[in-house]
Amino acid sequence: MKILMIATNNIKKAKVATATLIILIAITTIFLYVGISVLSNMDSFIDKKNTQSNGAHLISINDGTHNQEIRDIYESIESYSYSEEETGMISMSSAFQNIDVGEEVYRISSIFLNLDTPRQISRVDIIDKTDQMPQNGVIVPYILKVVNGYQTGDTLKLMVDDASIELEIAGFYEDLMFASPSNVSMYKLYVGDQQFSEFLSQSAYGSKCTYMAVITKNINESESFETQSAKKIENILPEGTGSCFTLSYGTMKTGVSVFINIIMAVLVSFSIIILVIAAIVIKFSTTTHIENNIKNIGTLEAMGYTSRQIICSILLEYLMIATVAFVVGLGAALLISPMITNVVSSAIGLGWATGLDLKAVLTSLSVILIAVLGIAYFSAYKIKKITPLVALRNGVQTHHFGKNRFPLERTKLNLNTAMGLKALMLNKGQNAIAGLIIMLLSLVSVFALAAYYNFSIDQTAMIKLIGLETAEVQLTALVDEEQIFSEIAAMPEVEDVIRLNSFDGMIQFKGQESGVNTRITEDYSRLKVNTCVKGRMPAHDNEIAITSIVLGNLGAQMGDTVAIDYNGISQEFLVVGVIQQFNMLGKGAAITTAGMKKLVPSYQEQNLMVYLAQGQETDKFITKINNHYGKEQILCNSYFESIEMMLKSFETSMKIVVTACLGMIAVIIVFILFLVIRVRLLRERTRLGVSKALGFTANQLIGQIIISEMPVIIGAAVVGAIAGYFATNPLLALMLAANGILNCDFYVDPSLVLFTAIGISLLGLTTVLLVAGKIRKISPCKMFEEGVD
Amino acid sequence: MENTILRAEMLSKTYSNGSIMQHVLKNLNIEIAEGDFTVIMGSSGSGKSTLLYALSGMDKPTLGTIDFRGEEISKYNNDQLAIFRRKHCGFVFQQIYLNDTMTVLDNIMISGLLVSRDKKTIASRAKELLHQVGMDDTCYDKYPSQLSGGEAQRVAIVRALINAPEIVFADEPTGALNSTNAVNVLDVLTEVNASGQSIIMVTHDIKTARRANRILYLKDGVIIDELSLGTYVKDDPKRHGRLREFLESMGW
Ligand SMILES: Nc1ncnc2c1ncn2[C@@H]1O[C@H](COP(=O)(O)OP(=O)(O)O)[C@@H](O)[C@H]1O
Ligand SMILES: [Mg+2]
Repeated sequence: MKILMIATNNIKKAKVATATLIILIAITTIFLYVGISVLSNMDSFIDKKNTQSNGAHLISINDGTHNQEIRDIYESIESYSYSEEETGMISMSSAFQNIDVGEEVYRISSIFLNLDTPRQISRVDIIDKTDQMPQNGVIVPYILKVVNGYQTGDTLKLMVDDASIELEIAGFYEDLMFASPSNVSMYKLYVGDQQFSEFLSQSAYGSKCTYMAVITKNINESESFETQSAKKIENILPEGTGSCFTLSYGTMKTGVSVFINIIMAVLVSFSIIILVIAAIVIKFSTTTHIENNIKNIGTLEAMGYTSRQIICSILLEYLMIATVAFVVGLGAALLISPMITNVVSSAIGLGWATGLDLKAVLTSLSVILIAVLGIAYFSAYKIKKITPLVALRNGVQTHHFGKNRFPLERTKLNLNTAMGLKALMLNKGQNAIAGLIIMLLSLVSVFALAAYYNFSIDQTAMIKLIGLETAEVQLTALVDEEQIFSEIAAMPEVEDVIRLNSFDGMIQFKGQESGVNTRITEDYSRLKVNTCVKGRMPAHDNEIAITSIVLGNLGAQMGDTVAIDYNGISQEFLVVGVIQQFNMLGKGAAITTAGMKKLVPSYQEQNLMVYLAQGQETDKFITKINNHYGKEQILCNSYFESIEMMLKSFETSMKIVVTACLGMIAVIIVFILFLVIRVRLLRERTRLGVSKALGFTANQLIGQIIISEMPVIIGAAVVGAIAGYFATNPLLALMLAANGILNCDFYVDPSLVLFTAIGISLLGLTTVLLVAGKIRKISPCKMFEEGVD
Repeated sequence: MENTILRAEMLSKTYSNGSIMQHVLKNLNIEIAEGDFTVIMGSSGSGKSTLLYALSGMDKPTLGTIDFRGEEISKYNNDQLAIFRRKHCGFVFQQIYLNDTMTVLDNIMISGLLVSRDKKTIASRAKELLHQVGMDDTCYDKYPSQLSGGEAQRVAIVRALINAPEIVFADEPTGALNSTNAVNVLDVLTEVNASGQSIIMVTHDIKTARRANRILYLKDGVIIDELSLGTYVKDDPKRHGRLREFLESMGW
């Protein structure tokens, strides 16, 4: 207990250092706990959500012409358990607008189901239900509530070509399969019996389809169920018309959580950076504590304390601080949990709800305690080398024999500048530490700002990461494509057209197999978005480019020969390049049209990407095409808008996370500077008092402190911001490595660098002025009376 | 007095330690003549340092006025006081208080450069003064921790003199020195006084006090009596006797 007394006494003496550490460790706790609890619970959370409504393991939508065959195929697969099917209405060119929240019209395809159909699979639990389902009531995905702010009672206008109808939102549902348009760009909507029959009876809004839901024996193998069934379904459907659309639980689950998992991984990395800063502060204050108290330590040792006991008292001090800070941080994390819930819910499109997660609490506590106690022990260890005699004799006295910097007799600088710079050189150690921390934080700020910029303001780089083309419209010609495509290319609204198609197939290498979405186009150099990161895109009929994720799955490399299996025909391709894409969970490949013709000799490109000229409206163009050709000749839908929507759904989460990070960074900078300058003022209070007595005014002394601190702050802010300029993309690539991203092209606007450098410098200046202002209040003799002790 | 340089009237200083008010100086009236060597004596805690700091404009009195050559400095704000101190006052402290991160020369120059920007003149004046107090060329680039206590105090005196102040305030300048060093330092101060600068010194020590031509005795915040000794003459046994008698009558 004597050790406890020494420890509490140390804490009382070092108030600012203690406060700084508490803040740092509390922030670490918040981020670490939130990150770990979301990351570790995501999987089981989604599983549990799905179990609650007996969610489907696989769903498929087809035009109803092959129901029996498809059902037979599902039943023939070993892991099949049971299934359900119902009639739906699918609308490929639907557009929506919630009139009450004042949003713009956006295009997204949709499927309408009958709410009153009895179902066992994917039961609809309505959130925010109206008392009475209105005749035109519609139940919409939960994500529209959290991201877009929809409320029950709002009017949702549905527009398909020239027809439009107003529906009333009567509640929300959660279903992993259709949780977020970022994952599958289609809405599943439920309407009442009467409305549903009305939809079906008039063809203006869409066409009749069959919606099948399958439960398998093992939910974790839904993806393999999907590939097995897909292969067989391909064989029964007429070639080229991909009229059976399938989603599996596994793919959707990964897809829905990938973004939030990345954000949480970033939060955990950020918390580790802060923990490193806390470690630096501990090292710094332990070293100064030992220096300042070497006499006391000597006295304690002379009294018979062992150095181990003294080290223990230091460890105990940090143990108490870390524990208090952890409790504070955990409390804060629980306090802000509604915000976290909102961030996670808007990212995954399911209502996130978890209580206190004990496992995450223990994990983050142990990470923090190990780091704090480890660094404290490491810093305090040198006490072992101090014998009482040495401590008592050489105590306090610090000898300066260093080089005389800026000798006043010869320097050209004015007095205050010279004094400030002298102090700058004297406090090299501390300044280096403060500089390092500010540099690190400046770098992180640029990174956070750049991430926000690329997500929300200029999304070019994000689109490149996702790996989709920027064409506004995608269309499929059902007849006479040569004729139709050349007509469209000649339209005045059209800037460019590219024939681009893709198919889902299997790719094989040395007995390994992987599902992959393969793109087909004549000339890859014409694409607007280049996804190639190594080697080159295919140019000849025997060449292929593959994503690093698929290459990893196959164990193949550039230069290897892989085989593609399509409709029973197998063909070999040479890997000439590595591509990257977020899209399709990074499972992609690319071959040329000539290459595709080797697989399917009769292959005709029926898909066209249409890039509209500047200022052209997608909606108008689609309506024009539909009116001109009719649905028998052409299928036309918006393409790029859905990507923009997906990015928009991330925007909310990004904004909160980036703002929180920047706020924390500001708090840390203020506290670190507060600590450094307070320690300095305390240590130099005698010297400052004497300077005042000699006739220095408070302003002169404050000026000297500014001159001695600001170069470090500004320098560190500038260097850190510039480093952030160069490090943002490599760091991002590192974080996304698991998603198969090797290379990022985020645009880091130089103004962000400038803004960060200036912002941090100003923040630093304000803090320095605020802390140094204390000099003003104290009269000269009071200062050194305190100094005498 | 015609050649009064510093005058304090009805000077009071009260400290409040929490709820307890402590009246350290009580309605003091003092006049210091130009060229005087004044010593303030009194038992520990009687308010000697407080008086010294109030007179020198380091601390503001609670009540009363102080004027310097007719200028009421007790009205000054902190910055005006700082400027007053740098121009007109020199300080010597018991704890010496040299800046131990700076060389001897720089320690002196920081004071000098507050008043003049002429580095060359200040440096040569500093060197000249260092010679006068018996320090040789080798000391310029030394750090305070490389000096003996007496040497350090002599450097501090040079620092106090660099701006040729009218008054030098010294708070127990020999308190931390051995007797040889103390005599050395006192000789310097006596010489300074002989060249016309006023000195106000607080001391505990009778041998130190006898350098003065005027002794003030402070008790419980009031000057209860004073003694005029005349100009200092070395080894004057009568002077010592008078002083001892005076102090004994004060209850020393
Ligand atoms: N800043 C202060 N705050 C409160 N009390 C003070 C302060 N400075 C001095 N005192 C008190 O004033 C009294 C006189 O102090 P001081 O002038 O230093 O005495 P001396 O120098 O004669 O020993 C002492 O009792 C001391 O405790
Ligand atoms: Mg005193």
